[in-house]
Amino acid sequence: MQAVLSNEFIRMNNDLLDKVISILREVLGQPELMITEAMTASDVEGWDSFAHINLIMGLEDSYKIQFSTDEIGRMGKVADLISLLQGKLQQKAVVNED
Amino acid sequence: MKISLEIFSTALKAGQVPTAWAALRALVLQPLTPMQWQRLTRLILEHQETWRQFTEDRLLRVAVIGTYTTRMITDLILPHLLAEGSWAEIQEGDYGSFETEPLSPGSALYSFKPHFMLVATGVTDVREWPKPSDSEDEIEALAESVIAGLRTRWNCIKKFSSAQIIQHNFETPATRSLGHQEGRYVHSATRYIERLNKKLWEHEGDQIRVLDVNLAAQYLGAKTWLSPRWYHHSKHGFDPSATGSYSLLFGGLWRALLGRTRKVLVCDLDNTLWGGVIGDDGLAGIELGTVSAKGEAHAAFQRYIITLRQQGTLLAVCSKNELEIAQEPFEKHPECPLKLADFSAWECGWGVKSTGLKKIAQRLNVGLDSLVFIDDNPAECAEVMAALPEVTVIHLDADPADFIRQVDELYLFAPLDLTTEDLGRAQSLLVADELRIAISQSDTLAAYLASLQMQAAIRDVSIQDLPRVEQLFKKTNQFNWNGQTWDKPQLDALMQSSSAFILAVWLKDRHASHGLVSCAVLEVHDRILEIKNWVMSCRVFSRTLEDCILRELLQRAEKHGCIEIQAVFLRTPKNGYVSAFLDRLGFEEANGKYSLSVTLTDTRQCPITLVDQR
Repeated sequence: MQAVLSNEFIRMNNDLLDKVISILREVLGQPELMITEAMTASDVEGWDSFAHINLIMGLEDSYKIQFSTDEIGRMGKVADLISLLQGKLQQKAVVNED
Repeated sequence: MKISLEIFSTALKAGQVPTAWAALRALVLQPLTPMQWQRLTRLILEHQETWRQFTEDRLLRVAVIGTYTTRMITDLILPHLLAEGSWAEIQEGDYGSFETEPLSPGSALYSFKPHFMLVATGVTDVREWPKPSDSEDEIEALAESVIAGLRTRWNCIKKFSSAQIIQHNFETPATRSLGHQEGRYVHSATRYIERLNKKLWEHEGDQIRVLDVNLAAQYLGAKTWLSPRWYHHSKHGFDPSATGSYSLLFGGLWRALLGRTRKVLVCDLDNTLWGGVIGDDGLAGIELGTVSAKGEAHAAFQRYIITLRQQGTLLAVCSKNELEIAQEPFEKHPECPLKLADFSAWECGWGVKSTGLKKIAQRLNVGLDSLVFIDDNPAECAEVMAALPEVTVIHLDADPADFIRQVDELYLFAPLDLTTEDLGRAQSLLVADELRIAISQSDTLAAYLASLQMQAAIRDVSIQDLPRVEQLFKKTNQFNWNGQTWDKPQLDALMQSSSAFILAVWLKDRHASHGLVSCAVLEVHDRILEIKNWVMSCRVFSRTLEDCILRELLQRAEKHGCIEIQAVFLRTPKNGYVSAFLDRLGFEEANGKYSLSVTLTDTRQCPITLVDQR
């Protein structure tokens, strides 16, 4: 049971990372861009505040979610962004079940 | 016509520049996201050389300064200007630079030598709001202090540069602490913003041009326009998702500033001006008016088109139909708001629509880039777009009830200033039509011109004529000697000068008063009368008016002790009319200047009476 959950977790995580990468590639105009979860925005050339806003808008649009003012400011590492995103999606799933 | 960025990108990479340009012209009329604007600008910059060649080095420098993050604005300027045929260099001031930078003569803003300075400010700059205890006088003083702050900076910009200032106005906030009473009390936020904007409009055309962002905010909804989240996070004066709305508004003002306001609306008929096909369904079968909801929608669309006509837009028809059948609803349908006489040109037939559009442009004596074509049929739209990249194509793909908005929200017909000449444009064209027929039968031309009983007034301009003078210099392509333009403050300065003067010409005939149809900026120096530039509306071509004006210029030259008239003439693909005029009168060319001795008397006899009253 545990193993199944964690596999699912990893798969979901990868999907989210893929999405973040695909939006960032478009935002930064770098089709070959690769990032890892350990990176921060300052590790990626061109990932400035404007790119960040476009990334957030892209994610909000793709997943029909909204980040709060606090959350937008709290995204340090790519991993933080992914886990935040995951939290949002789970929250949304619960609301939808209700 | 909805176009994807890919079409632009592919065409550009394949070196198909006209196709890419047509796609760009369509793209800037779409509500793109900040990311798409960024990508578009990036793609354009990657092919900079191609575009510089394409625009023949027509360059505009635009500086953007503001009190908030202006990145979303700077990214959309180059695409918009390039879509109208100019290359653009953009300089973005530092964040929040509007407060201080304009005050410093050494600022990088000024060494950039901008042609335009866009001032991006807004409701987020209003720090102090009226209090309920404030008197009317106190509120007025508060508002005045805000405008005075702006005015100080405008004055500096005018002093340290020759840039034309484009000033955002203030948006009515989404927060209404007085609720349903906002409209009632003078101290409310809504009423205060109204007051500030009214004060800004008082400077319109004088020191500044107002970019009415309040209108964009209102159209989109105040709540969507400004997102507190993005303002607090990164000082965005409007929500990034509102960039599309900003861009449409921005495009409208820029086209007007560049004299690129569209002049003619060319309409398809079936399923555009009415529901159904007149050739198949017949007069009783088409849906127009109270017969159905859809019929009502088409009638409302027609009434909107009438409004455009009243504002000076010319109307034309381009339809696959037999002319007689196509005209029937306008003559006989009891609920058809548009009438036959509302249209200045008809092209009905079975050939491709691009051919019809070319004929319409020729007939109305305007460039193809002045036309807007509307059609519900995507194939017709695509054909026109491919064949004539200059024409603006609107594919009416929405519910007929939304046709008005599809056209209106693009701000294509918004003038820089609405002049009395705009209001009478369609009427002058009737005469132009008769004239065309008379010219084709040249033995009757002189008689026809005499029968027009033309009266011209040639006078130094007064202050109230300046908006039309500015407009005429900017909009005229054909009778235009060298393309030089002046905005109102510059014209104002010329009026004060002792060596320069501005002549304006009014014309009327037995059919219509054509208004101010020609103007020239002149300067006297070294016994020479120099024509800095001279323009004349194409509406009054072929009437010998130019000869009549030249005679006046010769007389003026003599009066000022000049021995010759000089002018810079720059040949363009469009100003052949001037070129023919120069040849006919025997202007002599030397070093790009054309000159004519004042002793010349061989101007044509003009069948025009000179009068004092315009």
